[in-house]
Amino acid sequence: MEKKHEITAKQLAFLDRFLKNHNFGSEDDKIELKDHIISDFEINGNGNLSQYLSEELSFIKKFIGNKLRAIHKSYRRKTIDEALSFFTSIKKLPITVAVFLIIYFLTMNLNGTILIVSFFISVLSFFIYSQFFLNIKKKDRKKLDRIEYLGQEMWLPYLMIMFPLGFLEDIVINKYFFTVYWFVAIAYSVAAIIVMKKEKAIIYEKYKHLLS
Amino acid sequence: MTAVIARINKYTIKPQKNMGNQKLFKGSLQTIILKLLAQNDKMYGYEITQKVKELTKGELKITEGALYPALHKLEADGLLDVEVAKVGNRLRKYYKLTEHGTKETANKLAEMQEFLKTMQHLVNPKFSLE
Repeated sequence: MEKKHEITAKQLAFLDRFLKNHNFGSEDDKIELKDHIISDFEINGNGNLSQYLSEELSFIKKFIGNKLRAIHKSYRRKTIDEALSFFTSIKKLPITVAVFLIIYFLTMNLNGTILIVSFFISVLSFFIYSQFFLNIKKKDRKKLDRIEYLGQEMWLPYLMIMFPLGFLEDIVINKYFFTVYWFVAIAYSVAAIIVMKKEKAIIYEKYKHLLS
Repeated sequence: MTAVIARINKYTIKPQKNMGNQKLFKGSLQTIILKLLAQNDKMYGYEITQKVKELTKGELKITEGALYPALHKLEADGLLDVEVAKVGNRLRKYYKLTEHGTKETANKLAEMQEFLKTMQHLVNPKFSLE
């Protein structure tokens, strides 16, 4: 990889400003993007950085979008795998069955209003825990965009609380359906929280050079 | 590694010349990245694109638009670890295999060899890859 020319300090400052002004991703993204741009510019560029950047603009924009998509997909898959493991892992299966039976018992024995309130409190408490107690400092979020997506898998339980707001009483009529509905909301919440905790620990270890 | 890429190249792909074959190449990208990292301990993104170009004498080119999503996916899946080092006037993000990534590399290479063998039997039954 022979360099045609070396990037100057002035061009480097220009590149920093360019990435900052266009708000291209977090600090982590910028490290990789900047290194790629400089490496390619020094080997294939014609010395005009401004022209080079305008030609590479589409790649730079896609770089961030594709990365976030990959991270998001990965968290979703891990959450689904975790939720499935509640049924496939011999260690977890007794707890899964116990939780299901408790929900079934509550659904069958509580009256409409108390049942709805119990459903809300149980699912909402997981949501609040994930969003406030597993939260990551704001300044760390700016440095590493994968953190931003950590809590987003709680969207399904949140939707399961919000979606039937207008017709909860109709849903409660079918006790069997409501048992499954409640159970899925709880199981997915727990899976998302487990993944959040695991990933948070991995991220803080892997990116300690970036995070406080 | 050269052998694997040469086989892919010989029998299936020349993405710069034939757009239709890019799909075949895309399916092998993760295996190529993993194999390169297994041989080189740690590499950075641009280095991977140049290494593949060099190994295939320019016949196969990994575009940055395909490389980075693949690297980020492998990292998110826990197959790659990252390491940041200061190089000259900037920081550089290196990728290296995790323990899980090392095991997965062996699996993916075995799958690739099997696939190439099957394709060879289908496309050209008289000759074998071995």
